[in-house]
Amino acid sequence: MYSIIRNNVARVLQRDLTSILGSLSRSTTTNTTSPSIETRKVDDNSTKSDSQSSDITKTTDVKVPWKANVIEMPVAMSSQYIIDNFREHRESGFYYDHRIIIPKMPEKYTVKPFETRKTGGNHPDTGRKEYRRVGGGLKKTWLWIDTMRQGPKSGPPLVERVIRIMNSDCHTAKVALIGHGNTPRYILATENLKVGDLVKTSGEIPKNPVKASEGDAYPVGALPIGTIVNCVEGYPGQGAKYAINAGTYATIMKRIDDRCILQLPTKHEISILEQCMVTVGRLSNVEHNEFIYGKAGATRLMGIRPKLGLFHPKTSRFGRRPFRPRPILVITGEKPEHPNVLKLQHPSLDPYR
Amino acid sequence: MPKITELRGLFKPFTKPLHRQWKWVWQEKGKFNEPKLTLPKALEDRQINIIDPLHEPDPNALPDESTPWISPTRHPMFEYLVPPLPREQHPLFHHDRSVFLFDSKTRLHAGVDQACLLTKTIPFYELPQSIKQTLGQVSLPDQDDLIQSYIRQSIAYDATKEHLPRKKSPLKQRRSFRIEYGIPRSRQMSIVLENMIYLCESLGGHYPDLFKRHLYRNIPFYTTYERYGELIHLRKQNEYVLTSHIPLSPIVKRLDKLEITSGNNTNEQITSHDPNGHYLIQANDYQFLDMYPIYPTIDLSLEQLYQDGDEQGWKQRKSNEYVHTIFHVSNDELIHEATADERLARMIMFTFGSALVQARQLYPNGILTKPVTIQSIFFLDELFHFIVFQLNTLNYNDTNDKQCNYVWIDKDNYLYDNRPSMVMHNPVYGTERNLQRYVLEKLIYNPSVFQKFLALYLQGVK
Repeated sequence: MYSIIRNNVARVLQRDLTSILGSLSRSTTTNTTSPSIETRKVDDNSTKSDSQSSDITKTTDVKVPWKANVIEMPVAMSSQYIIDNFREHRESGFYYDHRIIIPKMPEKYTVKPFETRKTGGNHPDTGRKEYRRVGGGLKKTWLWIDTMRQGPKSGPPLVERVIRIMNSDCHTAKVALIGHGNTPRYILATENLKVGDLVKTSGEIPKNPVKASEGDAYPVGALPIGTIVNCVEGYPGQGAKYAINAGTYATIMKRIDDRCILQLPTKHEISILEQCMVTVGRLSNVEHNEFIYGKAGATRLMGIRPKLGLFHPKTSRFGRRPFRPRPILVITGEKPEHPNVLKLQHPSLDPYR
Repeated sequence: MPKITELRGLFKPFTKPLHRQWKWVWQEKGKFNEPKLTLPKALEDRQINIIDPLHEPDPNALPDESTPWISPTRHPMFEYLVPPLPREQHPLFHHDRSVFLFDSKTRLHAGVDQACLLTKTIPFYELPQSIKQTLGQVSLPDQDDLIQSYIRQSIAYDATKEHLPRKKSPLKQRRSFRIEYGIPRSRQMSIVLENMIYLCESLGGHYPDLFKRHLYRNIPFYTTYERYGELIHLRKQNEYVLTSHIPLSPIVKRLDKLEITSGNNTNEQITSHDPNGHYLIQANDYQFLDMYPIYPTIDLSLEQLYQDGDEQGWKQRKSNEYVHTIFHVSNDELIHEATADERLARMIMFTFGSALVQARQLYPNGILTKPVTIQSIFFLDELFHFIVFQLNTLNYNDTNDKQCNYVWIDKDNYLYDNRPSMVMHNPVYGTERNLQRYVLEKLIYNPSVFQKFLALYLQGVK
């Protein structure tokens, strides 16, 4: 979150760096020699090696050399998804957080940054103060991050390329701009991602577990036991819910029938269906919890107001509390309903009509 | 015999004015004399019906046989009173085909290489030798002093005093700058540019062809072209365009042993001292960028509101107008807002577009016999980029066609070196007043920039 203060500098400098160092690799195929278009040889920056040895025999139109072997999938996120899944979406705006409102959400997914408004700790319906220690701070721009990493269920995986890695005001982890075809989108970057890397997603669950490489997204049933994983879904098609913050990761412990058991960063165990999507690796910005603000003014710029403590009665509420380990949380595939609108069933109770 | 109370107010010469009672008398006895609608004298002979919208129509009137009256919906004079049309009903909205729009604000993330993929060009990062040889030959007396005086005039010695837009520094969001009054940037840059062009024009005594050139300001420009099955639409408001009555001669005349200029000797040996051969050997080494899962049109947005056809700014196709140079001048941009790569890519795309329009008008068949060259210059307070573009093909759909266009780029030329900026922490605080003082006292001038400017200006003369 200290990125707010240095965000703009990094944005300015990173653009120069990416242009100087060369953001995209150059291949050895040339246009003047024979049209060897189907070979994709990407040498330098990619450290990926996949154990899937499936021959890619995709029928492409040879006319367009840059469209060869590219699978196009549209972005699954839209404002309808937000209306269905987030209770906090209202007509006055999308309440992403208890601190931030996005006044207008477009219909389609966009990459351009949004300007936000602050709540000041006030509840959107009643207008009263709901949260303490919230108020003030620098302005934040919100980036719409695509948390649904859907991949093709059969056939070759969806390959994407990292264009840019940047800091975000509203997220602790770093954000990567990823593109394939004509669609760019944002995802949360893992630890060792670099500009120019290739990243895969696939929805297939083969018999043998897949050798995982960082940044790729697979369903949980395809990965071997013990892999480190982030951006975990609760039920298939939900979107990332667990292990979203900087430096967090979950580990896969067991596999029972068609369910998998993971250990979340809070040491709580969870069992989810096999088809839930998950990305491999640890999220970026690992030193986030070691950041020292240095002065009180830095916390005020974050939007954190001061705390009362000197003359308050102290109870023993937050002392040493050894708990018993909690049982495994089993998540079924049923989607809970969150209606946004309350409908009065007895109009006669309405005193104004 | 009526009573006197009823006669009240009727005998005007015999009554006193009513004063306060006027209201109540009017309520009871008031009458509005409507003017009688009569035909004017010239139309008395004809049988015309008078339509009075305040009363019911006359049942005895003749039927209306003339054209019915239609209310003028959406007359341009009353557009401001009516809510605007939705986008889908605009006459220029194309429902069937959508187009990739390249605007003056789009940014190609891969820079020059992405633009070269889209336009099938090969870049060379130096000026062509035929221009380098003429760099120092022609010079005006006192040219350095004159241009330094123009710089000083644009920054300090100008009488305009306007409210300048608030400065912002990207380093620190809460840093606030004072309100300043001074010379706006558009005026600063137009002073320098127009005076430089005027200086170059003063050589008209030696080269009378210079008097047949025109300088256009703020003209629209748009085209569409097809690249591997996808339409790309270019759109811009050109700030300055120089035209001449003769098209520029091409720089590379022989491409892969294919004769493009007619009437030359065919020499199959390409020797190393041949300037044309130098570029052909270099061009075979260039490899087009492989952005594997990304298409180069990723940074372009889909648009359905566009205008078909080509437009260069002058309506009638005058046979004597050929584009010579395009000057890219933007008033809202600051130096740190975009990289040199992105700006060069933008320049390449727009020069390519204007070259395309010219080629389509000269060769409507689609077969180029003589390549088309256009120059362009980017200018943003003290930064200059020079570009020379040569168009060799009109085929952008075949993969087997190996003829490409050529681009010569000369970037990062600074007119004067020490302009204080707001981006990094620097000892000279960037107000207008300090800018003036600093530039007036310690102007570090670079004379090579104007030499290149002159050399590019004098192309196509004699």
